[in-house]
Amino acid sequence: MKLLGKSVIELKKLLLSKQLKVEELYDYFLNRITKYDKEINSYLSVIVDSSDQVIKNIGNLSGIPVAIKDNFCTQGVRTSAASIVLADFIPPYDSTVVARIKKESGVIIGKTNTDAWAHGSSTETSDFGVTKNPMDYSRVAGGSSGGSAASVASYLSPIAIGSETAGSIRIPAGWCGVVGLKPTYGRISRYGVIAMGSSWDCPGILALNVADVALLLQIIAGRDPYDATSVETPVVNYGNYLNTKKTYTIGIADEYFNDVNEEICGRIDQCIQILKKSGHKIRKVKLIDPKYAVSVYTILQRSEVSSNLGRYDGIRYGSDRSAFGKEAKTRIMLGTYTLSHGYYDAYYKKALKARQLIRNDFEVAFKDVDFIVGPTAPCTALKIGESEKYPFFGEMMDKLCEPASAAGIPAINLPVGLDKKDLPIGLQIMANHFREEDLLNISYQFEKETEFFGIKNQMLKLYPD
Amino acid sequence: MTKTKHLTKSDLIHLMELSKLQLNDSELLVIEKQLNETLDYFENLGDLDTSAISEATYTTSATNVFRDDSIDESRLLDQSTVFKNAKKKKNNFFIVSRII
Repeated sequence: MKLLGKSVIELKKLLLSKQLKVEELYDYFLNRITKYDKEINSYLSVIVDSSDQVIKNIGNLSGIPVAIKDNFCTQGVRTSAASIVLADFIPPYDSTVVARIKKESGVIIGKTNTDAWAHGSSTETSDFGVTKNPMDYSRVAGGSSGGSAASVASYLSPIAIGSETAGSIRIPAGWCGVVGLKPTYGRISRYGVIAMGSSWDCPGILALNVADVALLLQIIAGRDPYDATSVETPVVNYGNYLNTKKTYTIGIADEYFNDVNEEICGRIDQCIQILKKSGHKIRKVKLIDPKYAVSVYTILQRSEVSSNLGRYDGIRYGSDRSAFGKEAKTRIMLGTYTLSHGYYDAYYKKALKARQLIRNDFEVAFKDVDFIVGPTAPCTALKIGESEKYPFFGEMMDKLCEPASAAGIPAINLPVGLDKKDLPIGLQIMANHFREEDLLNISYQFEKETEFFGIKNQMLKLYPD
Repeated sequence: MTKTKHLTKSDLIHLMELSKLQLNDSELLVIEKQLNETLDYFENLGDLDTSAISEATYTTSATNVFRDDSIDESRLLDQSTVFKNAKKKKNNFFIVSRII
């Protein structure tokens, strides 16, 4: 049976109708990983012996393999966050996201590469080597959820879990050509996720299509008593919500097109025209320039990092602090400074106020429009090593993603074809707090209309069975 | 925001000690350049008038969360599990560096 590129929903049908066995499906992905991942390096650990997992095909995931970013704790399976500090850490418990996937008979196939501690936008800071872009091995997959994005793009897993602090799902999804959803802050529990910027961190989903994202979101979203910042807001049936075509008002903000590559701007304009043709209203909105979100994010995230990474002392688990890599050390140092006596007001407090401004700015905009649409990143995937040339690299790559994270609103990357260099281009749609169902609805409509410019077949022809 | 001072090597050594990190001279040199460029970038926040704005501490409108003060047995770990990841341990204690 030809399985290449099949959606989670299609695979689920095959499993439920007994045309395909859970073990067969698992082996299919294991074989593909053996064949291709030596080069791509999307996985840090692969669970080769799945016998304790692959037993049942009940529940909403029916035995579907899921790849998990390596900063989510998995009971009995090494969780390193791609840092040698945690190179031998075996968590004694599952993160809530993983527990919920297992409860619905999802099978964890492996742990995916990331920038160390999820600090970065290219997966180059991983202590276990860079993840290569499946479209071009001389380029990065983006980050920090680069392993998750690359594994989905090359069909080494049908769906993956990633996490975002500001851009870490959307950037690699954009650069690898897959769908990547960062939900509202608090929509998905952070329990058992290795903390980076606690007021920003947000688990999310990477997949080849929108309906699969809706299916998995349904399973992992919702209040968790173990994460006090997870919210009570009811989880709707995201899958059902896709079936009714809704008409929306879409906002376009010029500020999100500054310093963006011309070819990308052209493609995004083309997408806006497609949305207009499908009956949505397009309206100009004015938003705070994303360059300010870069400062807000950098100050607050570094501060939270210096606090969160304070716990790594090598006593209860992991290695001592001498094992931290360059990026983590730099971030801890800056965060220690921005929180220190005498500079707290100038940096931390000022950034918190500016964050509130950004939040208010979106709130006003969402009174007039349902979504804001623009590019995900200012350019397509960079060459490996190229980031060294940009001192402020990650933050500038994440610039267009950071305002949504600052405001805690949901946003999605949709693949919109390839550029002249055959590299994926990403379209970003942002929505108001807890409007995931509408975000998925318009994304689904757009997918049906465009088939994402045929990107899936262009990618998968490079990865035959 | 008023122009902030640049970090010097001695500032960085102080921060390094506060954060319990070890950096050699060449690492400090790289970090000095990088952090000062970053601090320069932060100056742009001075463009934003935040005088009438309160600080954002939370992005969604959640309130305090309470729970009963009771033990959740499903989350209890036995001692062997708790010590499993520790490199230095003795008689069910973690061994730490001498403090006093």
